[in-house]
Amino acid sequence: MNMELLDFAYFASYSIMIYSSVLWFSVFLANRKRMWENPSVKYTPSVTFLVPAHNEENLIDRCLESIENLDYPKDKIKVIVIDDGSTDSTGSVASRFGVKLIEQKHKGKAAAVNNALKHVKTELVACLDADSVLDKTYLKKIVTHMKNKNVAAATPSLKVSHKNSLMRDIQYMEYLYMIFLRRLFNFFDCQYVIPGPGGIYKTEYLKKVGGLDEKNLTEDMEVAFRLIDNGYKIENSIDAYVHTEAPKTLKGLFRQRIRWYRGYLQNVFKYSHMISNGKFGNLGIFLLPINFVWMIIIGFMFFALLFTNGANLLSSFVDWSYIHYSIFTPNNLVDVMSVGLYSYFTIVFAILGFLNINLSLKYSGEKWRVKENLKMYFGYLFIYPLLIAAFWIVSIFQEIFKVERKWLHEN
Amino acid sequence: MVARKLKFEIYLISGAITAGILFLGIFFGVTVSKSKVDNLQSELDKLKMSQEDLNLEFVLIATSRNQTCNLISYELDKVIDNAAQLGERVSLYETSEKIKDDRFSFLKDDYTITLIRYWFFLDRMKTECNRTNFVTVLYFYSNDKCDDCNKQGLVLNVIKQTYQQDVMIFAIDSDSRLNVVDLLKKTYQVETVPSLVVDGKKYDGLVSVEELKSVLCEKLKKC
Repeated sequence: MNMELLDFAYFASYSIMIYSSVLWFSVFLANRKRMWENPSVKYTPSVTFLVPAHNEENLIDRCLESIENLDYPKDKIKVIVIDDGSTDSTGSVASRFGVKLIEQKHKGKAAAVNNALKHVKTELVACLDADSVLDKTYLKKIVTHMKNKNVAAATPSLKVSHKNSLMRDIQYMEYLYMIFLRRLFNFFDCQYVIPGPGGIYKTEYLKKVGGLDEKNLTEDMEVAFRLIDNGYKIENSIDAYVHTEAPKTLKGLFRQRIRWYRGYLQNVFKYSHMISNGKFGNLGIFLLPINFVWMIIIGFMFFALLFTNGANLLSSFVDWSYIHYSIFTPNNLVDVMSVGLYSYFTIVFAILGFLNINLSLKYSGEKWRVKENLKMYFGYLFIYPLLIAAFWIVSIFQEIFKVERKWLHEN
Repeated sequence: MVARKLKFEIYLISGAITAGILFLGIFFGVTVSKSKVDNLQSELDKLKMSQEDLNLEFVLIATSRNQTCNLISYELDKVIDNAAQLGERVSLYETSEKIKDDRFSFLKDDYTITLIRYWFFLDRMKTECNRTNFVTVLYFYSNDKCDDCNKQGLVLNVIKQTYQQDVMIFAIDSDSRLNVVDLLKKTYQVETVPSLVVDGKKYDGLVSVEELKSVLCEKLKKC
């Protein structure tokens, strides 16, 4: 590859990355006083929680207990557990809590929600995964966003329940960043996901648009797109916390992300009329188009890294003696001569990386714990981007070559 | 139904800030690049001064040849070490600097000429003073599409570590537009990179540490 072309591509990619960071930072600065704000309205609507469960006998009691413990008028809360073809005692564990129990053949989460939606008579309906746990104040905070008649849904802030593997450490940090970013998306009016655990809807609107799409890989994204397409708004409460389980292993994470990212691609094509359409606000004219640019940048960076460093690495392995020479003979590579334009970019990205973690921690109610969480910060800054790049590339290839989507549903 | 209204201010402001950050980066890059060339230039000036000095010594005592050989007490090996180090830095600038300073190509030519002059001095000393305690190596390399050049560079580093002042290495960019480089290449029939000319004898392609060591052992009469 022509070296100058490569440099130009890097420069262009860096420019777009910096622009994107600056834009989100500007959105943050413009709204920094409102970050924690929940509308101060007197509004205590009735809510039904839908909890689809497939073989969750070990976890569902924690989930239902957290609903019981909510700081909210008890008579305004109803719970429906949908036993999605469990072969364990999920149903009997759930019935101990005095909830309405619906049984169905194993058809997946979206089908379970749609099935239960018919029985919902309350003003609002919230979806929950059986492995997730609500904060005591979750409902009180999130419903304040639902009073406005244009609002169809509100998103909570998700946190990872357990940090007991490197993958979970990385996701823990990622989720904190998502809390911050989701709030910025909210201010910029371009949230396009209503997370499965803890997303809350106006029952009437959800029924009107036809419930969840049972054939979609990411039904919680599809429904967001559909609500936006129908002219509704989606809000976010930054301190309505839901604690959820994250995949523990790389393999589990891989499966989950392929489903998410292929789901994104599927939905973007389904709602392609939104792309660069001013009617859909910043989502149409900025976020959806820039996400395509992101995919190109991710692909370019990943392969450029692979080809420039990979080739050297490979040839070193073939002639192992040269590794020996390069390690054991001192050279003067650390020299003023190696300082240059790229050093500047390195500093810029180091600052952005620090700001990213710092603001994510601040707005998710966490603190820097450098000693305990060093692995988490490093994993998030250096391993996470590579993983995400790899997942995106695999997802795009699978979508292009139309690899069967079915297996992803069985997650 | 919400009618979504677009505000473009934030996009424009962000664009302006981004342009500012990029502009600052380019300004930083250009400044650093300039100061690097200044730094290389001052090193090169020192090297050239030593050469002038040496040149003058040759002229002054040219009348008595035997004396010349003994009187040249100049610490040539150190100067040549410095020249080699400067060469590495020139090369590093050339391969890694994204914003090249205009003066660089002249500086590089100047460096190459200075280097060849030193090599010429040493060659003269070998023949005229009958010195056999060191070997000169001309190393022709290229920064462009030469995978083996990195390895050859590592090999020469190892050799230099082992033999110290007994081996004088002169790395010359084979792509140089200088006539004298062309002349040297023609003289020794250098057609590929990497190529080594050890005391006037040419070796094509990558020469390993073992091969080079055996050649040097023979020339230096010691290992």
